[in-house]
Amino acid sequence: MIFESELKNGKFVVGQCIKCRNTNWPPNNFCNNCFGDLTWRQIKEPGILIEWSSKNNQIFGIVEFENSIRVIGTITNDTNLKTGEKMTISNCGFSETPKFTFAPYFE
Amino acid sequence: MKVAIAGYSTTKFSLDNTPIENLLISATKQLFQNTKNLSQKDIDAVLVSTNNNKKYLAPILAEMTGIAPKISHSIENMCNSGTNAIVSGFSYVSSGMADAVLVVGAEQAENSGQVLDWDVSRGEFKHPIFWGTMFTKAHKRKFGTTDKDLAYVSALNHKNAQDNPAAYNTKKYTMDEIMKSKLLTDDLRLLDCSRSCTGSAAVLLVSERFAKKYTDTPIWIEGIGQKTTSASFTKNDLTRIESTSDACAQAYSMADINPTQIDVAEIHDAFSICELMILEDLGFAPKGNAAGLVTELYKTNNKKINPRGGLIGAGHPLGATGVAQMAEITMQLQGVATKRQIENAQIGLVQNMSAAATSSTVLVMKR
Repeated sequence: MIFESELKNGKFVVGQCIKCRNTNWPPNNFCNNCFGDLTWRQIKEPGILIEWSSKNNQIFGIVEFENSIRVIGTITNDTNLKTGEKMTISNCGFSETPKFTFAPYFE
Repeated sequence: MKVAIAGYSTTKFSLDNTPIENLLISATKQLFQNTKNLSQKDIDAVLVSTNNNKKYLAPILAEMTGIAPKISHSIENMCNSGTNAIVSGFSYVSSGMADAVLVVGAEQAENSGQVLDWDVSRGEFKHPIFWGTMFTKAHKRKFGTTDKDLAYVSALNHKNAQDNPAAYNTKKYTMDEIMKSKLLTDDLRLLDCSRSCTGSAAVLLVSERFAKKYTDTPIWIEGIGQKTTSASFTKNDLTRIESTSDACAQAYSMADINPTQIDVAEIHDAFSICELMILEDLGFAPKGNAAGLVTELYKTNNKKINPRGGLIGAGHPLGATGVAQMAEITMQLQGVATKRQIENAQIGLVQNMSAAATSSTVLVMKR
């Protein structure tokens, strides 16, 4: 799937329907609204931090992009995190599972 | 056509590596031994609930127990496979396709249903503790829920499990032991979590015209609700279980009751936070206030919520859990739950859910 191959190249892409413009998440082979074909485009940053926690001092959290696309990833540069703050993708890849690393976004 | 539960069984939950076929047969054998006038030739359908990857388990179970049913198949839907199988059995009876349906749930402690590999939105954070911790953190943040509130959930379920001979763990835990148990994440300790275990359970669903043949006290399934919101955890509102809210509204409407009328309930406490969220979303407590209800139940030795000890106390054999919940509420409404009995229970509820709360089943049962 294009989602996986693009992640391996460090790009987080989502499928957008060429007919109804619906953005599909999680990744799909066709539009889940109108069954139309998809084009793949890079996700729009920054995202918003929805929630986070930690395990063995590794911080992880849910980040939401484009008001709908949510993923869990590792968070770095994590001093004074706040829900609702803007986050950017500092790294992404794919090895058995998608792997995302997020960091606070500074304009 | 009305549908009754006329027989049930639950085997001892454990961490043993018992073959799945043996687990299914054990629960079936126990149900036949416990149910009067039941003959193999009476069974029209055999439904198996499991996440086990073995094929053709319902026909295998039927053959091994001397049944030649019209209908036999497996049902898999992660952790609420059991209640999905019961809803399927209900449909066979209420449609007139069957008069007697045997539903058997079984799971081995090591099984493929513990992690939903499909959900890429969780990234590398696949294990259930990661969604459990997100629910916990969000509930703490929004409602001020404390670690002590969560510990009371675990203490209540472990205390109830002591009177359940089928529970895998009947050890008593103090609040201090729970609050000092191994820290798994920032928000979850070991004793906040249910444990996948080995076990099986069975129920016999029958049509109204045959219900009294098998029991003097048939228990009627009066309300059913189901909802699937997605298959990806991250689509959840983190402080509310939308699938349960929707499913219980359907079940209350079908049974023509409201939550204040429910005398006893089995709910899906996969993690301590789930019990608080479910109690709130079923309407048993105002949103954000279930901790007060749980603390009161614990301090007053009231077993009306999870008299078996829930998933945290009794253990969680995934495909068997929903069936065991139904068996427990049947016993409670028949008045035969011995040390766990809720006095004069007339209306009971089962809430069972799957895959980070993305789907739920709620059933209302009446004496």
